[in-house]
Amino acid sequence: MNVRRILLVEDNMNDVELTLAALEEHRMSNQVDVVRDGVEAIDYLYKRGAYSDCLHTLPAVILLDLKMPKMDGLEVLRRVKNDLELKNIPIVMLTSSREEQDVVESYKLGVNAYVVKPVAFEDFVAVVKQLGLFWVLINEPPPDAPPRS
Amino acid sequence: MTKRNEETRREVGERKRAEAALIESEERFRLLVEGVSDYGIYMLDPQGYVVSWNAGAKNLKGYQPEEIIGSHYSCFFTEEDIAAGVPMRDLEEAVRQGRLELEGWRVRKDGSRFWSSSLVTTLRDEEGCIRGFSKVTRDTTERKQAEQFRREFSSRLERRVAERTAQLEAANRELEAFSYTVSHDLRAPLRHIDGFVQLLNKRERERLDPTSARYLRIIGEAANKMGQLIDELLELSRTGRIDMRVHRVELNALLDEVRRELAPTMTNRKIRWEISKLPPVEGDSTLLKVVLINLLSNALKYTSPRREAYIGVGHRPGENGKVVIFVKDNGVGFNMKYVDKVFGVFQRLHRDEEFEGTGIGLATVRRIIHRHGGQVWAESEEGRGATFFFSIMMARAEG
Repeated sequence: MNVRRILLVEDNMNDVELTLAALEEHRMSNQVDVVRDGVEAIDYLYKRGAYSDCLHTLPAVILLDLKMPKMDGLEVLRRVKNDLELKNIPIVMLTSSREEQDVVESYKLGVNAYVVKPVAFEDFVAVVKQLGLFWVLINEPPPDAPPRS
Repeated sequence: MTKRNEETRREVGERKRAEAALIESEERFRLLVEGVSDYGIYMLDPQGYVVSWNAGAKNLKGYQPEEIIGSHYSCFFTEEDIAAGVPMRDLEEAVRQGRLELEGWRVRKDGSRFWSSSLVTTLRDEEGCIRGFSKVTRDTTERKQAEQFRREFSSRLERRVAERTAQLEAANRELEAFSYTVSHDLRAPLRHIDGFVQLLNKRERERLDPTSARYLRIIGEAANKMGQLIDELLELSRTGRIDMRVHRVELNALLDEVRRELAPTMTNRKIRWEISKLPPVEGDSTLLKVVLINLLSNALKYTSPRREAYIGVGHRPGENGKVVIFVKDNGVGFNMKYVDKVFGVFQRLHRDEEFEGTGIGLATVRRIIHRHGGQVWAESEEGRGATFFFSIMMARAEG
C-alpha cells in the first residue's frame, strides 16, 4: 500500500530512535523515511545522489531538525519553500531550540509549525501524535500535491 | 594792582600745585604699572613700536626695557603668525573695535613659546587721533595646558568607554551564543535520558522489581527537573535581554489570562480568589505576564497545604506616579529574617520534598520589575501567609 510518507531529517541517532518510538506508539513508524542531514534531505526530495533510483512520492510532511551538520534546517526550509514543486509540503521544525531568533527566522522562511521538543518523553509522544494525526491523516493537501493513496 | 598781583600769584601757585599733584599721580601710576610683575603691561606707538615696558613684561617675555623699547612688537609673534600678517591685522582690528581680547602662542626672547591672553586698547587723544596702544598680557599656558589635558583626557575617556562598550557587547554576544547552546545542546541529552528511561520502563514493565522501577522514575524526574531549570534560566536571561515594548497594560485582563493558563494546577483545590479592579499600568505585557504567572503560581504552590486557599490581588497608591500591586496568600509563608533571599537566583526557603521549584521565579520577577523602573518586596509571617509587592508606573490617563 502506498501510504503517505513522513520525512524525518535528524542527525542525532538518539533523537531518530525516540521519534520513531513515539511514532510507533501511534502505528506510524513504518511511514517514516529518515535522512541524516540537510544535504541528504535535499537529495531525497530531488531524488538525486543516493536517492536517484528511489520511487518514493514526495512526503506528506517533513519533520526537520534545526541544527545539523553540512546543511542546517533553516537552509533546507529556505530551499524547499523557494521551490515551486516542493513548497506545498508542510514543514514542521522539530527542535530543541526555543530561542526566539530561530522561531522568528523559521516563520519568516514559511515554516508550517515550530515545535520545541519537550524534555519529558510522554509529552514528546503526545506532540508527535498531534503532528502525525494532523499533517498525515487530517490535513488535506492542495490538489497538485502528491496523491494520497 | 597789588590785588591783581596777589590773585595772579595765587593762580600760579594753584596751577603749580595741580601740576605737581598731576606729576605725582602720574609717577605713582607709572610705578604701579612698572611694579606689576604678573601682567606684562606695555605701550605701542600707532605703528606698533614698543614705547614702554613694565617689570611684568620683562618677566613674561625676557627682554629688558632698553633691549625692546623702539623695536616692533611683531617680534613677540611666531614665525607663522608673522608670515600670515597677524601682528598688523590685530592692531587694525583694535583700531576698529577700540579694545580687543586676544589669545595665541607668543615667543619669548629665548625662543620659547607661551600661551598669551591679552587685552589691546587703542589710545586716542582729545581730537580722536590715534596715539598708540596699551597692551596687557598674561601667561595662561598652564590654563591652556590644563584645558588641553582635559580635552585629551576626555577624548581618551571617550575612547576607553567605546572600547569597554565594544567589549561588553562582545561579551553579551558571547552570552547569547552560550544561552543558545544551553538551550539547544543541553536539553537534547536530557530528552534522551528521559526518552530511553521511558522506553526501558515500558519494555521491562513486567520484569522490573519495585526498586529498579523507582530508580528509573528518579532518573526520569531528575532529567525533567534539569530541563525545567534550563528553561527557567533561559527565561531569566531572556527577560534581561529582550527589548521592552511598553504600552498601557490592563492587569485584570492579564490576570484572567494567567489564571486560565494555571488552571491545570488548580484541579482538586479549593481557592478563594479576591481580585480587585486594578488601575492600568505602563509596561511590557509579555514580561508583566511572566511576573503575574510567577507570583500566582507561587501563591498557589505555597497555599497547597491549606484546606481553603486564599489568594488576593490588590493595589494601593505608590510614589511618583507609581502604583503598588500586591499578591497576598494564606500559605505557609516564610520567616522575615530570610526576606533578603526570596528574590535571589537559586535561593529557596523550602526543601524540595515540601514544595517543588527551581528558585528562579522570583529572581525573574525582580529583574522584570527593575527593568520597568519599579521595586519588589515581600512581607510574611511564618505559617500565616505571604504578601508580595511590586511598584510600577501607572498608565497616563487617556485622551
